[in-house]
Parts: sequence; structure tokens; C-alpha cells
Amino acid sequence: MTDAQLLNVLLLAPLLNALLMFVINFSFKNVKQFIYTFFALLGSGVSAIVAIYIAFINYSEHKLLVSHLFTWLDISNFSVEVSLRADALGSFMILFVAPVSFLIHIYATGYMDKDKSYGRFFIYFNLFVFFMLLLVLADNPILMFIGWEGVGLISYALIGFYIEDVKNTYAGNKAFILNRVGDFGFLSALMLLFVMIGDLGFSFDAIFAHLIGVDSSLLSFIALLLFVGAMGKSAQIPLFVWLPDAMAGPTPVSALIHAATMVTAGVYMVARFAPLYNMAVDVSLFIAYIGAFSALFAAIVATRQYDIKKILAYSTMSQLGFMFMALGVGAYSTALFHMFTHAFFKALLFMGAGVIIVAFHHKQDIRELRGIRYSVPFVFLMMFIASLTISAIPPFSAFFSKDAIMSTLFASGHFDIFIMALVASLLTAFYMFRMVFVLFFSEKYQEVTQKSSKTMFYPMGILTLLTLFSGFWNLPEIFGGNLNISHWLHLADKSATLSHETEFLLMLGNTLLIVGVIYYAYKKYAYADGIEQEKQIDFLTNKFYIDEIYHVLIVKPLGFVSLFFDKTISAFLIDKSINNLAFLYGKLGKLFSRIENGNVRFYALYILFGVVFGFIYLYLLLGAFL
Amino acid sequence: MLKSYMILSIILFSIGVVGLISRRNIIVIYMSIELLLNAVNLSLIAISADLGESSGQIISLIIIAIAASEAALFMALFVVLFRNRGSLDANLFDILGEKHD
Amino acid sequence: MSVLTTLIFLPIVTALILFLTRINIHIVKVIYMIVTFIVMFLAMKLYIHFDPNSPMSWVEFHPWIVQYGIAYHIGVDGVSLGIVMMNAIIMPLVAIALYKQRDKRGYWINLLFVQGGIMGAVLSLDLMLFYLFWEVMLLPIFFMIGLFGYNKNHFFAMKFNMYTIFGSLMMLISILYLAVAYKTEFGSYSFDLYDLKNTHLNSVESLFVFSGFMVAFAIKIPIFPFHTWLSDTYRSAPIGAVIVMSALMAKLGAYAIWRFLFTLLEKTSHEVANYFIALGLFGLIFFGISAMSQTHLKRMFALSSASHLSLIVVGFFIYDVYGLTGSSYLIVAHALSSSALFLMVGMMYERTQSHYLEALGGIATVAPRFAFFFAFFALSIVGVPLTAGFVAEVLIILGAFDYNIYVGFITATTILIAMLFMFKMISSVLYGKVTQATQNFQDLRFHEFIALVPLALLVVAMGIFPNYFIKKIEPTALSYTVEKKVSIHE
Repeated sequence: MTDAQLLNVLLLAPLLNALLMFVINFSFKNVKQFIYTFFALLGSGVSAIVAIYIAFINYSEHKLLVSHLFTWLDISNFSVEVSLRADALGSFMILFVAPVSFLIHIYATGYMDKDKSYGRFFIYFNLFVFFMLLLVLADNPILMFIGWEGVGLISYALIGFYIEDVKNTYAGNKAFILNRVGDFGFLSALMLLFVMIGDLGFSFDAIFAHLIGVDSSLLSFIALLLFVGAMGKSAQIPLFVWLPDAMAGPTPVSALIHAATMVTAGVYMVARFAPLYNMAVDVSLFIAYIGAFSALFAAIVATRQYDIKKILAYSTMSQLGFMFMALGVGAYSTALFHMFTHAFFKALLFMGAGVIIVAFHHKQDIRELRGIRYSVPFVFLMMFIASLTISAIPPFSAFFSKDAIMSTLFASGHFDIFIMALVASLLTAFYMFRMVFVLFFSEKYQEVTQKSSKTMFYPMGILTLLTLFSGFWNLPEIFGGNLNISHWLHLADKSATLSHETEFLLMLGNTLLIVGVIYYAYKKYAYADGIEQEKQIDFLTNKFYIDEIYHVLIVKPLGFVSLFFDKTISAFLIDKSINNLAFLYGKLGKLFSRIENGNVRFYALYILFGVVFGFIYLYLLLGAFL
Repeated sequence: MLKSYMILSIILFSIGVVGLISRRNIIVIYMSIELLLNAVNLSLIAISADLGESSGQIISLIIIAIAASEAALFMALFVVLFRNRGSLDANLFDILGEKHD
Repeated sequence: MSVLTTLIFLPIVTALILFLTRINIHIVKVIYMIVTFIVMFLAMKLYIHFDPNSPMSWVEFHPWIVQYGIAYHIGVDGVSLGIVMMNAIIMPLVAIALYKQRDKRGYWINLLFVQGGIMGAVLSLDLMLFYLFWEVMLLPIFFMIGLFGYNKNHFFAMKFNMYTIFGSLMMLISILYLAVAYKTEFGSYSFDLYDLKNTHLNSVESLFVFSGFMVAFAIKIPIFPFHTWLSDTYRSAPIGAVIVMSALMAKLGAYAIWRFLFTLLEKTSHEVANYFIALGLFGLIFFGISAMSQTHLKRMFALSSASHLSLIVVGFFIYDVYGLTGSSYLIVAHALSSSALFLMVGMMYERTQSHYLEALGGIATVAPRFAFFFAFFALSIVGVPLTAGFVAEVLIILGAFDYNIYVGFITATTILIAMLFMFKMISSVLYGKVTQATQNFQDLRFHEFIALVPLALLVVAMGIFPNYFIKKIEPTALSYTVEKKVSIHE
């Protein structure tokens, strides 16, 4: 099999399996569950193995894989090829996207066990993997946009998966609509790019080669619009409101889509357009600020959430903020490295949450779930490790990635961003350990109501290992490593370097602060009733009332305008005047019909009038009767 | 000579028209119509005599014959109308027109 | 007899025969199926043998009323091909999907009439012939609404009729004016499109002639502010008529802009293009937002159609190869999706006796297959990737950005507008708790399934392999834009 064919297999395996499952699901009722399990795991499994292989040969041989499938569109200058391309960045992405997806598939077979929509769930899941891989491997931005929209669409279907409750589907609607607001920006940016330089070819390479020809202010504008797309997909301020609501879906969905893959697409996109962002420096800085605000905002809100999944959702948003900060200061590979580690530990956290939710009768409030350490010891262990990792405790993976972000921020000289990042990272440790201590450290004991299947634990174990050790791959020089990932990716990083002493001090201070915060959380929440005594700050639990503000500012006026258009302008102003015009003829007819009253003598009179006028006319005209 | 016949004819016709329009009794209206008819007859005969050509007089003879049969028909109608409505007021018989209320 | 003439007159003649004889309804349906399938088969053949690079294919020219230069002149090119295909494909599918619902002979006879009328109007290249067919396709719809419609149908049938006839008369005046102008210039009458093209009118005259045509087309499409007949007519019309109106006749109005106005009055069309782009963009947003607050499904889809048709008008008036191709593509894409959606609304009404959002809900739980198709076609209207609508919208947006950045941005809102109501609609119709009306909702029957599958497959095929389809349209679009460049240089 040639390498290009490998790429096709990678992409088409999930799609074909999804189609197969769809046909089965559509044609037969009461299909045995294992059939779906087989196809679902086949699709994602094949792509996972192929992805690892492709990434390996790209990493070791620096070989670019390209596969041209067919021409999608070719009109005049606008030519879009469906062709796949696994360069370093693409291979790096599929390296964790496909395997993590596969692990979550395995997990989901346990989680969704005996669900009546089991088949439907895995159709969506495999389709999602297909679109995500398309997004990552696309060779031109239009194809990327198709994948981009596709993942949004599937996430809509998955968030509203439990369709019996219409609220869930509203959450899905919200996610898709906000994503599409982002897509509006993305598509506009692409079209602008095409209008400027599209006639020279529209693949990524061609675009980056001709960027010089674009007016710089327009380029900034394009970069900004592209970032609007990223905001929507990666849940950054102000388009983030869909992410907390998206937790309405089943937990594997949150693990797959809202932790490891789809939400990271925004980061990937900005990294993909790195040459463009390097030319639009002001926009990059804007990205950094948006990232900082989002990270801080989400971290603050997370400290007062009680729903276990919502905490994790805000934490995702916060971590994405970190990535955008790194992107904004030009440290693309650092951001991607954090994305890499984040995919593992966040998926693990969500999986743990899923096990807990299943085990304790679909309770999600951490106050009701106190004291479950001895009932789910493995989960405790894994979530504890993941929480240590997300808090950036050495030597777990996220320590390296987050520390790399902190030091680049410090080195870039934007201290305001650095301070925000620092506060956000301390808050991260706080809310994560608040959750962990409340859940697991208590004298109470709760019995497991429903035992989770083994299949849910194997992927969690693998992810725990990855969480522990994946950081060593990109070991910084200060620890004697040589930044393997950064060298492999070879992106247009604008790296400002710190001296080793400064970096070390920074690291030390950072870690000490975090440990202090964890200690504080321990004092407050572990074996104590800190959580019950917490003052309800509505302002925070309701995330600054952003949803309500949006409702008042956008949703309500839209409804009002809609009524105004329909009832006032269309029905009243236009239709009524036209109808009245028509009725006017009727009225006139009525008026004239009064003359014809049926009384014969009147008719005779009219005849007389007619004759008289006729004679007068003839007299005047002809001078007759003389 | 013709002129005075024509003036007489016009006077008769005008009386007929006024009667037709102003009177409400159907029989009177009928009589007015007969008057109109005869005014026209008179003018036909006068002109025919004046021109020395007989066709006008023939026509008027036919008209008189038809008017006679008409009269019989009308009388029958009057009786039916009177039986139905108990009156011969022309204003009552306006079912041709549109009703306005 | 040639293919195009058969396409036009086979349905009409059959309809006439059926009208004059009293045949059992079952046989009428069978004959309807046979005729529409023959038409579909012929149209397929036409499509396969169609050569996109020749300017006008299968041209037929027979003098008809020689004194006035009226001829039977028909032909097909890349733009008309799309509507011909849609007309040929949708009509038999309508019958398959609805054949149990309607047991009235008139229903099917009228549909046959419409099919012939639309074919004739699309294919004719003589203005008088066009006018004739334009009127022919109107009357069956009038009868269908009046005879088989729902609440207050007589009033709305009359309103629709008045509205459209008003437009047609304005167009007739313009046609006659053009013909007379041609006679004064060249000495003989002609109604042929390519003769009249050479007429020289001064700018005021051509503006008047343009507006005469445009009123007719704007009412049919409809463009703001000629839209007020639309939602009520759709609401009270029977499903077959609604499909014809939204999927075919409205598109025909848009098509006629290209065929007649861009050919006859090219210069004027360019001069007023800005206004119509503005009007179209306004309509796009206006109709979309209006649709948000609708509670009646057919009204909502009526406004949604209007919104997309405004987009088609924008694409045409942008007048570059992307806009023209994209709009022609959207004509086909939207015809497929909207006819399928209206068909499904009809099925829904048959099962639940309701068109109102509040009364529906939970269909996905009781009828998953129905729900799948319904959601699929609704999403294809929104223009999600891998459906035909997406391709068309991308092309139109591209053309708009090429034309002007601001126009581009407003055009790009199309990817937001349709979502505003579509997703809420999907949620409240398909999801949630089962209501009283939907608790015995029967899933798709076999014949309904058969009718929907070709539409769905076409939508997907056109979304994944658009190049194959676009190649049939592109040369025609290109030839127009080349003419544009030449005329600007002059």
C-alpha cells in the first residue's frame, strides 16, 4: 500500500463504517449491539493505527504524504481539490486525535451500553472522527472549512443526543449557531483571501507563498476574521456560552468533542495560518489578550460551579485560553504541545466524571457526591493524577507544556498577559482540587449504585500513562531535553528565549505557588464542610450573567424584529395597502351599482338623459336641426 | 305641413316620456309607452306621406297590430302582478337591481 | 418530433385528453406516472448528451404567425437545463409520494398541465411563446388552490391570480413595446429573443421595458416588496401546488431574469444591478428574520424559500461567473431540498392534521426514519457541507466578495440567517415529548421512502462532486460574463 493510499484509508475508514452502521440502523430494528460495537471500533481503530504509523514515518523520515482524491470544484480561477496532506503539523494532530478518539470509542462502548440509541451514537461518533481528520489533513482552506463545519454539525447532533428532552436539543442548537457565527468569520476571511490572491492557487502552500501581495491592513482584517472562527470553535470570549450548555450530551461526547478534539480545532487553525499571523502582529496580540481573558474568566467562574461536568467544561475553556495566549505571542509549537497534553488529561478527567455519573445514579452535583473515594478507588487515583497534571505539578506532562507557555509569556514582555495567566493557573489548581477534595476526601461513604463495565477502565488506564509521561517527549533544554516536538513541527515560532536561571526561578516560584494553593484547598474542602459554607455568589454561578445579557441584547430583539417585519411591515404596511387597492375596486363597484336599483322608471330616466345629451352633442357637433 | 305633424309627434312623445318617468302605476306607465309608440307611428306616417312612399305606413300598421297583441299580454301580466303583490306600484317591482340595506 | 417539443407537449396533450375523457382516477394516476416518467427519461437523455460548450442546443425553429414574426423557437442551454431537469425529476416523485393522498382527477391533470407549461416557458426563445407558456402554467395552480386548498383558499387563489396576472400584463406591455420598437427600426415585426436583442432603445425606454419585465419576475420570485401573496398562498395551497410554486415557478422567475433581461437589456441590467443586489440582500435578511416568528410550517418554509430566492437574485445580479454559476446551482439545490421538505410537510399533515409547530413534537422518537429525512433536508436548506446548498452558497458568497467586500459580508450572513428558524423548527417538530397529534405518527411508508431517496442522493451527490454538475453550467455563465467585459470596453 502506498503512503498516499494510507491517508485515504485513515480518512475513509471512519466514514465507511459510519455509512455501514447508518444503513444497518436504517434498515433493521433490534440489531444486536455488538454489530455496532464492531464497526465503530473498526472504523476508529483502523484510523488510529494508521495515524500512528503516518505520524511515525513523518517524524522519523520527515516525509510529506499527499493524496489527491478528486477535483471538488473548478470554476474559472476558483479551483478546489479534495486532496489530503500530512505534513508535520497534520501528522502531529492526527497522532493524538485519532488514537484518543479510538480510546474514547472504547470507553463509550461501555458508557452507552444498553442505550436504545446505541447505533445512532456510534454513527455520529465515527462521522465525527471523519470530519475531524478531514479538518486536520485538508490541503486547502475550503476543504478544511468543510471539516470544520462538519465537526460542528456532528457536535450539534451529539449534544442534543437525548432528544426526548427538548432542552438538550436547544443546547445543541446554541452550540451550532454560535459555531456558525464563527464560521461566518472564517468563511468571510477565506473569501477575502481568495479575492486577493486566489487566482494564484488556493492551497495552503500557495496562499502562504503569495501573502506578500496582500495589503497589510486587509491582512490584519483577514487574520481577525479567521480568529473569529477560532473563537466560535474553541469557545473563547465572547462566543463561549455554548460550551457549558454542551455538557447536556453524554459524557463520552464531552470527552471527545469538548476536550480532546473539536474545541482544539481553533488552536490548530491559528497554528496552520501561522505565516499569516506572523505578518499580522497586532491581531496576534489581540488573540493573546482574548486568550488571557478567557482563561481568567473561565477559571473564576469554575471556582463556583457545582456540576462536575461544568467545572471541567470551564476548565477546558480556560486551558484553551492558555493555548491562545501562547499562539498570540507567536509560540505556536508551545501551544500545540499544550494541546497535545491537554487532550490526554482532559479526556481522562471527563472519563472519570463519566464513570462517577454512571456509578452514582446520574448525579452530577459535587455536593451530593461527597465521599466516594473508597467506592471508586481507581477513578480517584486517575482523577487525582489528572488534577495534579492540569495544575502543572512536576513531573507530569502538563507541567512541561504549561511551564513552556508561562516562560514564553514572561519572555515576550507582555507582563499583563503573564499576570493573568499566572492567576488563571493558580485558580486552575484551586478549582480542580476543590472538586477533587470535595468528591473524594470526606468521612462519608456512598455505595456504588451501578457498576461500570471494564471497558471503561482500560482506555482510562492508557490515558493515565500518557498523562504521566507524554510530557517527556518535548523536554526543554533546561532538563536536558531537546524539544523534540517543536523541532519536528518546525513552525514559524517567534521565540524569545530566557536564560536558564530565570526560567528555573520562574518554574520554581510557579510550582510553589500552586502547591500553596492546593494546600489551601485541602484545608478548606478536604474533610471539612467548606463547600457547604461557600457563599453563593450568583454573579459567578451564573457566569457573570453573560447568557442573560446575550438573551436581552440579541435573542429578544431578534424575535421582536421578526414580529415587526412579519406583522407590521409585511402584513400591515404592504399587504394591507395592496389588498385595499383591490378592495377599492369593489367599493367603487358597489357605489355604481346603486344606480341600478331595478326600478324600471329610473332606467327610463337614464335613457332620457342619454338621449338628451346625445342630441345636445349632435347639435353642437353637426349644427343639426336647423 | 310635415312640420306641424312632427311637432305634434314630439309633443305626444314628450308627454309619454314624462308619464313613463313620473307615474308609479304600472297601467299608466303602459299607457305612456303606448303614447310613445303612437308618437313614433304618427311621425312615420307623416314622413311616409310626405315622401310619397308607402313603406312607413306599412310599418306603422304592423306596429299597431303588434301593440294590440302587446296590450293583451300586458293586461294578463297586470292581473298576475296584482294577484301576487296586491298592488300595481312600479316601485315594488325592483327585483332586477342589487339590494342595498 | 424532437426531444424538447415532446418534453413540452407530451404532458399538455395528455392532460387535455384526460380532461376531456372521464377515466377512472386510478388509471389517471397510472397515466400521470407513465407520462412523467417518460419526461424524466427524456430529460435524463438530454442531460447526458448535453454539450455545455455549444451556446444553445436542440434548437427548433418553426414560423408560426408569420405576419408578426412570432415563431415556435425553443432551445436549451446550461441555465435552463437545471430547471428542465428539476421539473422532470420532481414531478414523478411528487406522484409517488402523494399518490395515496389525492383522489381527485383534477389534481393530477393540473399538475401535468403545469409541467408542460413550465417546460415551455423554460425552453422558449420567442417572447410571445414565453408569454403564452408563462400564462399556461399559472392557471392550473389557480385551479388547484381553488379546488383542493385549505382555509380561505378561494380568496388566496384569487389574490395569487390577480397578483401574477398584473405582473404578466406589465411584461406583455414591455414585450409589445420592444416588438414595435424593433419594427420601427428594422421594418418588420419579430418576437424572437435574438432579433429583439439588436433593438436600440434609449435609456428611459429601456428602463421602462426593464421594469415591465421585472415586475412580472419580481412577483413570481418574489422579491421584496412583492412578496405578500406568498405566505398565505403557500399556506392554503395543496402540497402539489406548493412544490410546483416553490421549487419550479419561483426559480423560473429568477431564471427569466437571466434569460431575458440579461440578454435583451444588458446595459440597463448592469446599470440597475446595484439596486437589485441591495433589494436582494434586504430580502435575504428580511424574509429570514420574518420566518423566525412563524408558527405555521408552510408559512415558515415559504419565507425561507423567499430568503433563498433573494440570494439567487443577488447571485445573478452580481453577474460574474461565480455568482451566475452559484445561483444556477442554488436553483437546482434549493428545488431539490425545498420540494422534499414540502412533501414531508404534506405527509406530516396527512398523519397529524396539523401544520402548527406547537401541535407537533417528538416525531424522532416515534418515526426515526421520517425524522432523519426531515432533518437532512432541513439541514441541506441551511447549507451544511456535503450538501448541494453549501457549494452554491460558497460560490455566491465568493462572487459577492469579488464584487464588493461589503456586499460580500452581507451575503455571507446567509449561512446564519436560515439557521435562526430552521434549528428551532427541527427541535420543536422532531424532538421533545410526543404530543397528542404525533403519538400515532406512522414512519415513512415504502412509496414515500422511494420518493425521497433520489432527492436525498442528488443533494449529497451535488454536494460532494459538484464539479461534474457545474461543468454543464459554467460555459454558459462564462459566455455571459465575457459579453459583459466586451460591453464595458465599448
